[in-house]
Amino acid sequence: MNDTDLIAGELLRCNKCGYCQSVCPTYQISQDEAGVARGRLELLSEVQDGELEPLEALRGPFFDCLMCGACTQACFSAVRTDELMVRARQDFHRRHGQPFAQSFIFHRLLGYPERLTALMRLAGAGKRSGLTRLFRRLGLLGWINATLEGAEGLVETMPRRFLRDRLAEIGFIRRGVATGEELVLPRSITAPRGPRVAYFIGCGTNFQQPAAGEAALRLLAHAGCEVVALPNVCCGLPPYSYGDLEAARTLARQNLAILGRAQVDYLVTECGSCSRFLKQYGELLADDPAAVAEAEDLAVQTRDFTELLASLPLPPPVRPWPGVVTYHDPCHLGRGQGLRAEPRRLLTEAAGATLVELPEADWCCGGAGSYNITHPEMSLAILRRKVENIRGTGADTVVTACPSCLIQLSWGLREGETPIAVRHVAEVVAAAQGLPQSVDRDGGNVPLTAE
Amino acid sequence: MPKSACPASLPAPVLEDFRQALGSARLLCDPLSRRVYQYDAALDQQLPAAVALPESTDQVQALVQACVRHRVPFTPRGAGTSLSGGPIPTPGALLISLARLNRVLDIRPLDLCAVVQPGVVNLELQRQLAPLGLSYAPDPSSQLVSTIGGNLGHNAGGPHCLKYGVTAHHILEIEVITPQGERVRLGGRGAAAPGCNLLGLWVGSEGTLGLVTEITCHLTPLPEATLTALVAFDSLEAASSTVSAIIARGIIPAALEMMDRPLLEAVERGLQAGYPVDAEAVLLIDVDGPRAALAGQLAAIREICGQFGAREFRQAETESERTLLWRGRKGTAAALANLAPGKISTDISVPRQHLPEMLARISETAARQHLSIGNLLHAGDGNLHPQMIFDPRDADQLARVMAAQDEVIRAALSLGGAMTGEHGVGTEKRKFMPLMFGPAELALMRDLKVAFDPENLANPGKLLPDDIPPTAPAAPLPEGSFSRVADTLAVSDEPGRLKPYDYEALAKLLALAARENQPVCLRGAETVASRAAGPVLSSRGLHHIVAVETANLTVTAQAGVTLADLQTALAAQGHWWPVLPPGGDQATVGGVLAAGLGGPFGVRYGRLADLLTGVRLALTSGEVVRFGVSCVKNVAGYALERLVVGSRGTLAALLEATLRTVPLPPARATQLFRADTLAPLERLAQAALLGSVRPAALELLSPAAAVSLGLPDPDAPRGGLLLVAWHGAEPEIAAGQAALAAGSAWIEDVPLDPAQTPSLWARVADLSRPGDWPELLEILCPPSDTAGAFAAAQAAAASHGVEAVLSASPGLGSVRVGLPELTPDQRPLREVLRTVAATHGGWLRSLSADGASLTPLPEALRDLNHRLKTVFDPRGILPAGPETTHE
Repeated sequence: MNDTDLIAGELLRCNKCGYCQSVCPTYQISQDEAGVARGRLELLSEVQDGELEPLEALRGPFFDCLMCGACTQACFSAVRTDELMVRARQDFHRRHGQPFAQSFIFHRLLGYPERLTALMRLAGAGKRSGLTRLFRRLGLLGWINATLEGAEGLVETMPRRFLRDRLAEIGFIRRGVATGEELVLPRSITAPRGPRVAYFIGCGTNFQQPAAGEAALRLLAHAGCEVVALPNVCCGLPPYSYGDLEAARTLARQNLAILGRAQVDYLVTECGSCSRFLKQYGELLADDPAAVAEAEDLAVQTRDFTELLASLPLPPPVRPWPGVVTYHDPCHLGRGQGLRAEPRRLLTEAAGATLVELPEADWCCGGAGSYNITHPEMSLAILRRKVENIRGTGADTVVTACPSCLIQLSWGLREGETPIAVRHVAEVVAAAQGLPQSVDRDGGNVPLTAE
Repeated sequence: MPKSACPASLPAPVLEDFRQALGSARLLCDPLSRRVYQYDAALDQQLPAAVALPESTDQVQALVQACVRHRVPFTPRGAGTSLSGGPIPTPGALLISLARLNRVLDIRPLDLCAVVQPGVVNLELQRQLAPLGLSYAPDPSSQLVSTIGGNLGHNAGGPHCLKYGVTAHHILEIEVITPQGERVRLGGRGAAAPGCNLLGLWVGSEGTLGLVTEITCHLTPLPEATLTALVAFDSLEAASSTVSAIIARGIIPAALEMMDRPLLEAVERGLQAGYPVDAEAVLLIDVDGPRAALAGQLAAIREICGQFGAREFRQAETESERTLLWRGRKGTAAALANLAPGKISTDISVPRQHLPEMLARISETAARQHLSIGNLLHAGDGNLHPQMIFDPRDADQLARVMAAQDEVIRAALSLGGAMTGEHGVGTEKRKFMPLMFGPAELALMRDLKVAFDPENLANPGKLLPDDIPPTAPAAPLPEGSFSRVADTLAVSDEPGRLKPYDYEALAKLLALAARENQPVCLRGAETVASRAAGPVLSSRGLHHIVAVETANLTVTAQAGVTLADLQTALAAQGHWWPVLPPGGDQATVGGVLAAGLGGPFGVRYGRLADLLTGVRLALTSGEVVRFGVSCVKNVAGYALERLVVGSRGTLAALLEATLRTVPLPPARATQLFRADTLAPLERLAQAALLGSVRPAALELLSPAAAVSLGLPDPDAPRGGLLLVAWHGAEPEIAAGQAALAAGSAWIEDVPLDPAQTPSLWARVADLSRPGDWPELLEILCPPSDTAGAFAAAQAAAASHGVEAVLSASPGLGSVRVGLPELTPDQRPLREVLRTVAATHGGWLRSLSADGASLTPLPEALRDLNHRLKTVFDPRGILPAGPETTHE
């Protein structure tokens, strides 16, 4: 994609009708025009036209955006404000510099799984040390969706073991030592033969929500898939969101090299943000002749977990999910990929759950990657409205399909007289289908801090 | 040059004062934060000197007071979706965003009203009302973002105004911070406070008369059902002729919208709403009401569409199809951004019968200026939005668009229309004001603005043009004393009464009286007015009906036309003016409007000010001026026509009025209920008001009132009677009646002789005629308090040994108390009634003394009335207003 054309073209299509106010979560909280797409686009457009100096003060308007995409959906011209904010942030960093920690994480950590894993283990051990605060200052935990801050002190938790540590336990075996080694989860022998899929292990899933990943993996095998686990790196969405397109492209190329080797029908992940970003690889690498074709192929191959599972035959639930559930649409899954019916159908059919609709189900929860760290107050205000809606449904479990949302919702629902459980679609369906539950769900997580 | 060398903010002490006023709320001073407040949804831009984001009324008031201290102009802003530049500040102004005053303070179903802050988003209010079975009728297309405050400032319209009226018709009361920083309430939660119709003037005044901080909106029960149809035509002409034909047939759909081909394409590109892109024009039609009545209505519409060659008539089958069609319609203007970066949504109104001609003129303009113009019409209202898309970077194209806009507005005015129907004048249309208004009219508007805002602080640079052409010098008045000259200008067939036969003569008489400081009083048939000082200038010589235009739902009549003549002329066309004032047939149009007494049918048809679209007035300066046109959709300038209602001849002489007509109801029915106590009747009245079929009238009668009306009178004393009138199609009436019968266990349903009922309602109306009692008082209060006030007044009269005759309109918030001559012992009753009014949140006024308020009004309100009076009648030759004569 040619950035200059993208920006100019998109900006021209905003006619300032202001309809974005009706859906923009940050505007709904602040009622300040600087916090809505129309205002952000005005500022960007003035910078583009040279009418406004690219001031440091633009950080607020440009970085306060959740990039939830709600404005684009409400906009008759469908102006892609989220994409424009990526460009605005890129430009901002070019002029005002990128924070060292960010640059370090994006360029020195995310592409190096062993370093990242080591650091995360350290973080787990941070219970004994002041490391957590250091990580916080580095903004590290944010990049992997690992931390949240309540109004009163820290409540971070970390799983004892990451998803990658547990692949063997889930049933993965090493295969094809001679031809190029693979970690494979064999398909269930009782299920009809399904596709062969590569499972993309997202950072949030691996380090924070392994139970969701485990359930997804067991379900895929249960539904007849042969699952291959590959040593993929971060999908690149975090650096992309912060306008570091270079880091995002580097990670994308790394993943292409790793994933391109696998002879599979689909690439699948149960992180709605990862799956959406993988589907955008073609666009991301459009200007790279060496990689674009491969990137487009990969994008076409990518399925969100809910999308793939809903297309596979599953037996009726052996233990229909008890109680009442409600469903929160992750921005990148619902709006981003149009996957709204699939997760709901999985809940009502494959899990046999009673589903009540959540008002404003597709309103951002405020998690938005690391937004809850960089903008705790705004994030919390947005979350409160979500929590009110959830409580209003009377459901005892809220289900979603994105690790970042899982973390954010758990934060919001932890307090209150009647605690409401937060689960990934995969966990609910897996339990109803009678699959073994992860040992790490409830009680598996340990608090990060000594307080 | 970068704009960051932008105008400096205000001096530090001023900003400090603003901060003090705001307390914890935010003040934005840095250039960047202000930049996002320099635009609305139209073209003009201006950077505000500072932006305040107050969160409470106190903060707003303190801000305005700080502005007054430092003489800093201020501009209110809601969601910034104005299409006319309304929230664009003047240079150096403080922009006050009211977006954070966004709470719905109270929803009062029994009063059919909601009290909201100005920053509440229109659709958010609807969302909160829907579960209660209620709605706020004005639905501008921007309703999902635009605020009630912004809607009020521009008197916003919307697709459903055809049946339900514009914003002005649905505002009951507002709290205003005046340009002096005073806080004052205008209107009333039910009936309005005594005095001139300042509320009517404020609605649509675009923030130029002060800031509105609280709004009481009138609510409408949701209809039982709504049907939507999409009709496609092969020509614009056929579509617009169909619109006129539907209205002329006496069918009033809830909405009657039209879009032409360029817009259909734009909508379908942005959203696949199911519009046919190969049609030249489509109509989108809503009919609503009781389910039973709808199919017939839609069939009649379908037949008319067929007569005009409609190629497709598609009724929406599902609620989602309906919603999608409307989403497409409401997003049409926004969707145009897909086609070109610039857009002007022109906003003109014409009398409905001129729609085809107006569309032809627009295509001529498009051809002449080499532009593609799409047309979006609230066709049923005669309100057109020609959409001109262009690239603002192309100077030549921009110039052609501006020229086209000019041509289109001139064309609309030449057809008797308005230069803006619902978007407002703002900054962008000020230059067109002199095309619609003459120098005297503009000068009067300016004088009003100056009177209310002498320092020109409240949203300056809006609504009025900068330069107002000088008024042509008036022809010299004849020399000589008033009485000598008067005889040459008017017939005087009764002592003390002058009847001028033309407008000029009446105007000259007023000017003469002003010159001679001769008090005069303006009178019609004198059915409700008392005698005041000085000779009477009677309107009885002005007795011509000027134009009956029922195809446009209007009639224009001179002030002295009697209702008998007016209704006869309208009935010949199957229409009527839906009022039934005291004095009935003998009352004059001018008298009814001036007295502000429209009678019991206001429950269904609205307040008098809502049944008036234009007036011609003779001012005490001797000038004849005209305000308003034959269009319901008209927001050009101040709505001075609405000031006439209830003004009691204290401001100017009404010469002629353009009135809204409605088709005669195909059927009428009256129900009479009787009960031993008031409570069940009150509940029944509430049920009737909250039902989805609107009753035409509701009257609560004391036993004495029932006797005076000659109603069936069984021996036993009863608590009272409730009369309910229904107008409409048979199924509608049946639905309404059935709903009442279902809920009336403890109530006796008394059969009435159908032959009697028409005269019965005239007699009910006459209960408000002061001449029949030594004294007639009226309590004005919220609807839900009416029965309580009625009971309290009845008890008070009884305890004073007074045989009073009481009637009340629970739908309108009015209780009339007819009193015999009071003995000295009984005199304290009036004081008690004043307390009763106050206890029920209202006012007491004397209908025997031209509506003079017996409840002292707040100083700030009297001050506003006084400022108004000074503009119209600086010499004070006309009587003082009702607000000034309290005891």
